Amino acid sequence: MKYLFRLFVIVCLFGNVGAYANLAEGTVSCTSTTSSGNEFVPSYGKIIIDEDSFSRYYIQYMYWDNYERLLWLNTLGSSTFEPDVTFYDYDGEAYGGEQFNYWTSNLPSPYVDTPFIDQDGEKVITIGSAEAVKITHGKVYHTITRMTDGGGSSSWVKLIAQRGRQYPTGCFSTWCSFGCEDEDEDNSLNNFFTLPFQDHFEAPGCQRYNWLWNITSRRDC
Amino acid sequence: MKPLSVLLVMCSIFVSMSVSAGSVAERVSVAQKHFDEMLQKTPNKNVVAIAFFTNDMSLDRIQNVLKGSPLEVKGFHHGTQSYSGGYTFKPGETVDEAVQNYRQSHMFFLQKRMEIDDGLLQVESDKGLRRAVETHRKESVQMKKDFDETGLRIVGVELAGKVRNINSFKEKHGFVRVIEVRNTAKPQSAILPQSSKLKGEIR
Repeated sequence: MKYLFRLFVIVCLFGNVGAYANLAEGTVSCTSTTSSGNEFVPSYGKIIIDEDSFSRYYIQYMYWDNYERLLWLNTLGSSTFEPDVTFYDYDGEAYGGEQFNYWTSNLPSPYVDTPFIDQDGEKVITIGSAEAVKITHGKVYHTITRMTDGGGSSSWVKLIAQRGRQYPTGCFSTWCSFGCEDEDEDNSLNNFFTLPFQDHFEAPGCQRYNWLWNITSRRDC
Repeated sequence: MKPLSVLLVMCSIFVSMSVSAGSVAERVSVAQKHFDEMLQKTPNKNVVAIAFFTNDMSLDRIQNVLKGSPLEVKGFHHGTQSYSGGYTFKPGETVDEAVQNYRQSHMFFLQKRMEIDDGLLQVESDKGLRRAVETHRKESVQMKKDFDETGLRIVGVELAGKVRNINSFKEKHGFVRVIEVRNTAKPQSAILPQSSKLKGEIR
């Protein structure tokens, strides 16, 4: 029995090794023996982007329908998850600017993400989870935040599911959450576009999507 | 269920338990050590830090505590095991204005959540998703009830000032559990209190 328990512990821990950090680029390796695919992308989502008398804001829902969808997040103890809401700003007309004022989420250990390296032409506003290992299937998660005016009255929106890791393990600050890097050039294995710019979803507005492992189906609310 | 699936599910439970055990205590310990070092070496340095509380407390109470404090208040944190969040002051916003705006935003988004949940229940047919939305809605209802009964309860306050003044605040107010110096301009995850008066705890 002791032998079996030790074997179990080793298997679990082995699934967690392989992390090394490339801190200059804000990435870490996310090698896993238990899961290497896209088992972190929500199977369902909804985004509402609007404004009230106070400011612009978004409300994002996420849902994983079964445990297989979460294998990567759930088998790596230091996993982090960032559902990015990205506003098209290549024309300087982004609807959302940056996070400010009120925010809330029921993701485990949520934090407001600080983009490590700003990408020109895109405004990214994210509430991430520092303890993604605790995300469970069959539950609706939300990220809600107010945001500044990005300068435009409307703009395209891209939703990205990004996996990452705490580095060092046990640190819950945004500066300790690093996106995963992998061999492919566009890093698409770690940054899934559940709603790409090419779909031309425009803020303010509302969209629902189902992510079906390799393709997204989306529709108005 | 396949044997490999069983193993993976067990692994995920095991890893989850390992991560949750001790991580809060470790974070508190690291924050305390870091702050004590700053107090010894650079007591006059201006920093932004979060005073996390031993127990959650009402916004009204902290509003009174902060009156007359030489420290600049930068924001609030709310949080339970089920949800967390916060409020960052706008430039020039007073504590009284921020408290009022914080309450309004909290209620506004709670109401929005319930409306969205109701809408989803009308258009989505997937049974699992519907169950999850119903649970999500129940949480919102409980949160609203909590809000009506006990107001908005917070777990920490962000303060700006000299290290020694922030330490004085901690020494003066026994409800402060730990001071964590903020290392980013954006809000970090909260150190949750050891107890809460909220009933909306869904673990």
